[in-house]
Amino acid sequence: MSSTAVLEVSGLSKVYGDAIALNGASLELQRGEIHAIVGENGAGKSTLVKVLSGMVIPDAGTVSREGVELVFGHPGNSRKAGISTSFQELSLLSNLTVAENLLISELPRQFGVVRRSVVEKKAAAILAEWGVVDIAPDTLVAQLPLSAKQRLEIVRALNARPDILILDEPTAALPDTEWLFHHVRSLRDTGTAVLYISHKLREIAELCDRGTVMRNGAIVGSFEGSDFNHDELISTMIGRSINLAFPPRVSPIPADAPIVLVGEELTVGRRLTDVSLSIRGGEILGVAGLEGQGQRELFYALAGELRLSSGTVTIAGEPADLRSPRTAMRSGPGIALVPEERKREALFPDLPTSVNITVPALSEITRGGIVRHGAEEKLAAEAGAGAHLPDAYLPRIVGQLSGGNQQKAVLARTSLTGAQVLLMFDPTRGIDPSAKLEVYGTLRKAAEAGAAILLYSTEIPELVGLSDRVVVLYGGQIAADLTGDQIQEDAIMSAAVGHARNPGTPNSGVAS
Amino acid sequence: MKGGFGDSVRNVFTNGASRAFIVLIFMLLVWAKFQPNGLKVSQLDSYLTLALPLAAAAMGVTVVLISGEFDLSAAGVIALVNVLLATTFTATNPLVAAVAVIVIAALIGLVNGLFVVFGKLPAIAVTLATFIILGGLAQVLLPQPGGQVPQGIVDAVMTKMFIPRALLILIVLGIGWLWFKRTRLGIHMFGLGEDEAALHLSGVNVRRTRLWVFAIGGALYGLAGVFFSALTGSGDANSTKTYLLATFAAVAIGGVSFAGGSGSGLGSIFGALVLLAIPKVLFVLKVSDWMQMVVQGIVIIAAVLVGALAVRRAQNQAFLSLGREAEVDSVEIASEGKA
Repeated sequence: MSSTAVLEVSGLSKVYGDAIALNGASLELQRGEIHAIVGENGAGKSTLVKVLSGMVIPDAGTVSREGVELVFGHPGNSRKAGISTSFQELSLLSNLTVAENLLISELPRQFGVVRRSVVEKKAAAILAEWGVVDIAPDTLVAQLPLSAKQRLEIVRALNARPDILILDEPTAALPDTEWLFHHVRSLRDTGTAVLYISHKLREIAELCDRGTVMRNGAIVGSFEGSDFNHDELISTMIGRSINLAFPPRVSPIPADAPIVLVGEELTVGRRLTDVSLSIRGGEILGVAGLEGQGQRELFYALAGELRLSSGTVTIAGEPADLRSPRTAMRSGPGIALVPEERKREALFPDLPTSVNITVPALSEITRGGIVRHGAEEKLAAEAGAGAHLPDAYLPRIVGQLSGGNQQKAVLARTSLTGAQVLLMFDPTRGIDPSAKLEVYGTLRKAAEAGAAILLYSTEIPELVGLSDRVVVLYGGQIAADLTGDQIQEDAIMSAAVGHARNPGTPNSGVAS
Repeated sequence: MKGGFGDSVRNVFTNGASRAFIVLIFMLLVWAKFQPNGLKVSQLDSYLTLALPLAAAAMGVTVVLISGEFDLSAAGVIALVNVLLATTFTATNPLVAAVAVIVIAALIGLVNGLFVVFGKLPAIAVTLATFIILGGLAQVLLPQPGGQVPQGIVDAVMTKMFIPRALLILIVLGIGWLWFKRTRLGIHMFGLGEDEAALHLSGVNVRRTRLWVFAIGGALYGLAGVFFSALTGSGDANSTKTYLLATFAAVAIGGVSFAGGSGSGLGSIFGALVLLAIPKVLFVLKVSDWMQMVVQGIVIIAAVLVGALAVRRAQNQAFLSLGREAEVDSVEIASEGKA
């Protein structure tokens, strides 16, 4: 068995401050296998990837390529050892063109000059070779949609024709996984060893030959082929058994629950046209839609971040003031947005978690204009507990927490705004399964307490599991308005791709 | 290529260099229109010659800014080069002297870079210190204004020709920029300013790139020092201080991003020319001398404001059309130690 090992990782450890990122991780990678690494955010997968790619120097342990030890800390060495990586956070430079990005480390020169035409021709050939025909080599990467960036990142890794290919969450923004799987399999069949890191167990079952489970920086389990039980695997990942079900509604929404938010004929530029909806207190209204169908405009306009071109919004019977997020938050019982990019739009990444949480309630914890630390800690702990955020994280710098814990901090903060209308834009994006469950619980609890929740998610099962009603956006309009038993994955999906139109209520999500 | 006429017009305004160029043309037209008896070639010549040191220094600041760092050392380097040419190299072969001071300047830039790259010190602090030290060193070498810059250097820059020689030099600098930005180093420099981590992950040696950029910046300050010395003909350790702020004013007008990743050497040349055209225009419009500084400040604000508005507009479009950006799911490191 070890005769075919191309990469032997043994005893890797890495500690950042008091956080253990890797704890004696060992594994063997065989020639011609697709090897999955699964684990929660914070399990050490990314650190492992970074060590192998030469970005991070471990505190202990070795990596050897067919008996030759890898010198850590230099991406160049890893490349020479035949390792090539598609990074989760994408290593593309948005101010350069597609072609320049593809060839960045070996730009072709004539008389010292890198000629655009030459680079673009070469890049076009590379893209064509990997079956990418819809990305023009002369486009600036900044102008590409995320899914195209993701493919570009993958093509760059594939094109190095590595002996060891590392794919870190390659499908996070990839609609067409077949394209990726096809190329990964054909590389595998020519002897490449593939390390495949993903949250998506369905993909792993479909693609991978073997797998390793990580938890808290250590290897805690392994599996062969698609021969694994999802629930068991998840229990191994998080170290305890969980119930993957969505938290059920405890009591039905009372029939006389007040309508908290009404939006009529909301229009934002050309992206959102005449959308009407209303939400009752205690209700979770799901919003579904493929990328760019107006959901972003809907949420950001309701939050006061984008200007409505036309339409009216009333909150608790009064016209809402949506000139800015500040006025939206102060309209009636208040509107608060949990935005898409938590690190950029929601958090102060360099400040402690407790400070991030208590921002909306500063007046409650200051005396004479000075923040009282005891009060701050107490309030942050209360709000954090409500969002399942352990106290231990409160003093930490929020930017260094895992995505799941960052999102819990955002939810804790949102609870302190006291807003009764909560706009949740893809709140479980990129966070691990157990954090997702806790976010579901927080949402459900807020609804039970009477909040009106507008929930957008890219994961349709979430909408099915949590929503009382679902509106599907297509081309900036409501293509379907589903309630009760109508809320099914296939119904949502077919409306989202523009097939079905709900005949009864063609363009309104107003509760009757 | 892509997009219609409307897009092209918009690009002119989002592109800092072309914006600065339009402002420059406008100012030159105003100057020419109100100049009694018309604008003479000799006036244009002396105006362009005066702009040479500022243009070269602004280009040096530009490369460092594009790479995502700061450099305050320009004025210090110019002072040292000026004093060296007027004293130590006064009797040296002009070409050798010019090359020598430019090499020295490049080495100073390299040292700045070493402190930033290996010392992991903030570039503002390092280069501010360099500025102060070099200014002081120049004072020590030449306490009183004086000395003599090699005549060959003066002649090389100042001799009259059939067209203004300074224009020719500026064109060469501009072509040099267009060449440099298409070299490997040039492309890496842009990438470095955009996202150092991504460039590193892409397999480019970011340290070497940064060191080169600081050295090239230094060399351009050295060139600015040579131009300055040719203009004055003698040494004066004190007269170069204005370049500290003027270079940054020029790059701001030229549309260089102070956040890194975008900018143009051409823009900085135009920025330098705009800055020096202000007093000319004010003079022919009979505005008091005392207003000069105020107007300079207003022009800088206006340039930055127009640029910011154009860029923000472009970004809003992108915000609406692209939707979500890459999810950077935090560094995994510091998460669950033991919860």
